[in-house]
Amino acid sequence: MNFVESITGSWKIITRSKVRSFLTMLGIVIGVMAVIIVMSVGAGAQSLILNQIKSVGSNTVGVMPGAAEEDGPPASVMGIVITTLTYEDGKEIEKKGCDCIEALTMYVSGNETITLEDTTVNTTFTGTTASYLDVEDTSVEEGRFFSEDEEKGVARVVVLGDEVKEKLFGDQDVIGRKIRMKKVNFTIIGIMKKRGISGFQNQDDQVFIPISTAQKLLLGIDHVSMVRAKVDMAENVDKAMESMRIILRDRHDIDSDEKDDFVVRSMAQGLEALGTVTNALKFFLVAISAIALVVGGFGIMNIMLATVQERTREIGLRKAVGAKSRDITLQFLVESVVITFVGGVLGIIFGVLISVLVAYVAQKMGYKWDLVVTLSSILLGCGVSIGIGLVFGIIPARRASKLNAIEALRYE
Amino acid sequence: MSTSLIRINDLKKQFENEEVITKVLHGIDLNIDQGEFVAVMGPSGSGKSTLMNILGFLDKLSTGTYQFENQDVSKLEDDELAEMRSKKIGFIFQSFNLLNRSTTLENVMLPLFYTDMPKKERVKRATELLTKVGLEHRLDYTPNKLSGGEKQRVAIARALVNKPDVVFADEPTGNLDSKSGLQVMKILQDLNEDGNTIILVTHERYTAEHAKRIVKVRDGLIEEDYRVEKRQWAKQNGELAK
Repeated sequence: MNFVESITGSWKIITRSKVRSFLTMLGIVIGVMAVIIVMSVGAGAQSLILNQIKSVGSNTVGVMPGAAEEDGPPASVMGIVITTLTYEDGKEIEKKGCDCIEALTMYVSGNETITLEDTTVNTTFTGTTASYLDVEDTSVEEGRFFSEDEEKGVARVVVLGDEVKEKLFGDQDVIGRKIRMKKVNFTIIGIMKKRGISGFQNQDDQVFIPISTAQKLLLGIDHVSMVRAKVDMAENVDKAMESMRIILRDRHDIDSDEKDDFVVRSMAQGLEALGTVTNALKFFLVAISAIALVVGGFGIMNIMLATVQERTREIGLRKAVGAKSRDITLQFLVESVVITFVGGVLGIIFGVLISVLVAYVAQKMGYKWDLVVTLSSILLGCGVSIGIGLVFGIIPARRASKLNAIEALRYE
Repeated sequence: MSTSLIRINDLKKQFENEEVITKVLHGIDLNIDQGEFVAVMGPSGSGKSTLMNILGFLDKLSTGTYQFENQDVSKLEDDELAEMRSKKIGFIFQSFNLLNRSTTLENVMLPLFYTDMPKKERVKRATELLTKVGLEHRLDYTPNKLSGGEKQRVAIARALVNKPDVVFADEPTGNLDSKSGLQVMKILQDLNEDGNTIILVTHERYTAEHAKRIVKVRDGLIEEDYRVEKRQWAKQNGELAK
C-alpha cells in the first residue's frame, strides 16, 4: 500500500465534501489560529511595553516617596500623597551622589485648563527641572527649555507639547505669546519635539513648567512626586542606587534598623518584573487557546467515528479485496491527520494575517508595536495539528480496522 | 486430469456469541479442481454463505482441514488471510459493493491498491478488464450513473483485476433484472471457458444450472453434489438459449 496515494486519496475524500470537511477542521483552525495570535500579539504587546519603558531610558533610576513592601510598588503609586521627598533631596543627590549619575531631574504634575483668549484646553502640566531634557533624552523643536534660574525662581514660562500647541494655535507662531493656567499668565518659550506615547503617557499632550512654579503657583505643595536620575553605564546602576539611598536615609534621619521611607528602583528591575508578568500572562493565554485545540480534537474524533460508521461497507469491501487491518488503520489515520494538518495550515494563515493586521493597526495608532511571528510558533502550529490528528484519529482508525469484513459488507 | 484447487475435510464451523454457541457447518467434505464452475445452492440458513466465507478466506474454520492449492490454510492468521484474498481470490457480491464516489476505473483498481503493483500498470490492467466487460466507454463514470447490469460488470472486472485463482460470486444476479442477470451469467460462463475457476452461490435452480456442477447445502451438510446434465447457456445479448 502506497503512503503517498493514501494522502492523495484522503485529500480527495476531504475535498469532495468541502463544507463538512471545513466544519470538521474548524475547531483546529480556530485553535491553531488562537495560539498563533496569542503568541504573536502577546509578543507584540510585550514589545510595546518594553519599548515604552526603554523610551524612558533603561539606565535610569527612579526614587519615589513612601515605603514599599518587599518588591511591591511604593505607597505613592497607590494614590496616597506622601510629602517626604523634596526638591532639596534631589539637589543633594545631584551634589553628593555617585559621579556616575549623569543627570537628575524631578517631577510634580497635575491637570489644568489652559486658556488662550476664548479657547480652553485641558491638559497635564509637568513641573520639572532644567535637566529634564538630559534625563529624558529629548529636545525642544522650537525656542528653548527653561533655565536653572527659572527652575528655581518661580518663573512664569512654559514649554508646550506638540499636541497642545496644535490644539491652541494650529500653525501660528507661538514663541513669546501668553497663555493662562489657574489665573497665572505664562510666557511660551518653547515647543517640545514630537515624541509620541512613551512611558504610558502621551508626551505631546502636556506642558512643561519650572518645578518651583508648579509647586507654589499651581499645586501649593513643597514635595516632589518623583526623582529620576540617568546613570552613565548599566554597570553603575547599582552603585548609583546605593549612593542615593545613603543620602536620602541620612537626610530623612532614618535609623539603621528602620525601613526606607522611599523606594529606589532601576528601570532594569522594572523590566524584569514586567517580563515575568507578561510571560506568565502569555503562557496563560496560550494554555487557554490550547483548550480550543483539545475541543477541536474531540470534534475530529467524533466526525471520524461517524465517518467510520458511514463507510462500514467500504471498509468491509476493502478488507474483502485484500486490505490488512493496518492498511485500514493507516487509511483513517492518514485521513484524520490530513484534516487536522490542513486545519492547522489554515489556522496558521488566518492567525498570521490577523497578527499582521493587529500590528499594522497598532503601529498606525502610534504605538511602538513590533510584528512578531516566529518560525517556532508556526512549526508548533503544524506539529500540534498533526499530533492532534494522530491522537484523536487513532481510536476511530482502530475501530475501523477491527470491523469484521463479513458483517461490514452486510451493513446497511 | 485437472489439478486440485480446494480440498476440505470434515470442516466444522460454530459461532460463539455471549455463551450461545451456534453450530453452522457440521462436517463438510468438498473438492474443487481448477477450471470448475460450481454452484453452491441451498436455502437461507443452510450455511452456504458461511461455507463461501470460509472458502473465500473471509472467515476461519473451527475444526477440520482446508487445503488451497495443496497448501494447508486452516490455521492462517488474519493478515495471512488478507494476503490470500489479495492474491488468490476475486469476489462478486449481490449488492455490487462499489465505492459510489470513485470512478469505475478506480473501483476496478481498488484491490491492486493493496499490492505492490505500480500505478501505471494498475491503470492499464483495470482498463483492459473494463474493456473486456464492455465498459471501456464508462471509465470515468461513477457507479450511480450506471445501470445495475453495468455495475455488476464493473464488479466482475474488479474481481478479476488481481488475476485470481478462483472467483466467488455471491448471488451475482440477485439484484438484477433477468436480462442483465443473463448477461452477467454469460460473462461468468465465458470466463470459465477461458479456464477460470468459478464458485457461484445462489438459491435459484435456473441460475445454478449455468454452472457445470451443483453442490446443495442443507442444515450445515452437503446434501447433494452432482454434474449438471442439461446446462443452461446464456447468450451475449441476455436472451435465453433455445
